[in-house]
Amino acid sequence: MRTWRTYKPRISMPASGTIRYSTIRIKRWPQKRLLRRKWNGSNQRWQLHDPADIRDPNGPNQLNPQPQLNNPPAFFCVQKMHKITDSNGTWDVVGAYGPIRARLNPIDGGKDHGGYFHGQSNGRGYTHGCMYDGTDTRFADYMWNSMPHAPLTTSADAPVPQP
Amino acid sequence: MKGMILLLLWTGGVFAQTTPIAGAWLPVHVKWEHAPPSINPKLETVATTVLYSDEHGRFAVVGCVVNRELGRYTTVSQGDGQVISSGEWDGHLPGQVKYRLVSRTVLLKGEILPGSWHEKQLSSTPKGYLLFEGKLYRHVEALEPNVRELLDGIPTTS
Repeated sequence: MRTWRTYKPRISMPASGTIRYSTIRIKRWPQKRLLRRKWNGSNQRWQLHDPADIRDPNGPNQLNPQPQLNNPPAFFCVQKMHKITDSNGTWDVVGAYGPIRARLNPIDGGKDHGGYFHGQSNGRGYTHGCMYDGTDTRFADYMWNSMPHAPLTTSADAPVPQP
Repeated sequence: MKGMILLLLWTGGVFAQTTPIAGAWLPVHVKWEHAPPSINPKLETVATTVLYSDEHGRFAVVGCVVNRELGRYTTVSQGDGQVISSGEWDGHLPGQVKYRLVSRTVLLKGEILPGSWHEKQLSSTPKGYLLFEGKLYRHVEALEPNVRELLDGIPTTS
């Protein structure tokens, strides 16, 4: 049986000059071994945004040219996503990543597993180690429109020190 | 001199016989790219193909991004998406592998998975590399658990 576990958010979101915790609930798919192993008890922390605050409003226009891959090239900051059509057909990039994705860049010397915070609307219901909010775009919208241009510490199931 | 040549030939033969069967394999010739320095000046990434085989005859071809920090770690970049083809290997070198596409992170509209079967040859070289579709692959132990997890995580298809 598929069950969602919903966690109180651990992303600290500055708003109106104060720090508060988001009202957006971060979901994860607990039955995927990959996720369980990585998230449970993990103290790994990441940051959204880098100090240079690189944003890509246009998103990738082609998939990775590596012939076996057919995925958008890696991006290390915040990026808007859209469907891509090429000679093979239409690739559902938004279905896999939502309208916006933001790289979770490890801090504290953690391994970079290439995680993102992103949406998903292709019905798959799990990710390979990313944080995602399904079809709920509120956090992604906030991230793009209102989040301060500064690194934002993020973690799951672990306390987030307030900046 | 003759002794030296004989020794080299013998060493090559030993390597050929001891090419590990199970594990993950990365192309020998890849072009690593640096992440932006403001993110992590030590991080390098490459979009590539990783081969995987296990002792039960499972074989996989995984299109993915690999991240590394030299001297620290090499890992599959899980969030950057994968294209996974899975199948079996007859366990011989040279031998036959067959595999088919079973999973994509980014779906292609109208595509039905699993895809059709492909059959290819797999062989080894005296230096212990695998030769697959004209490319040399080297054994990278650190990638093996990553790929195994990916394969365990894909939906079962009939």
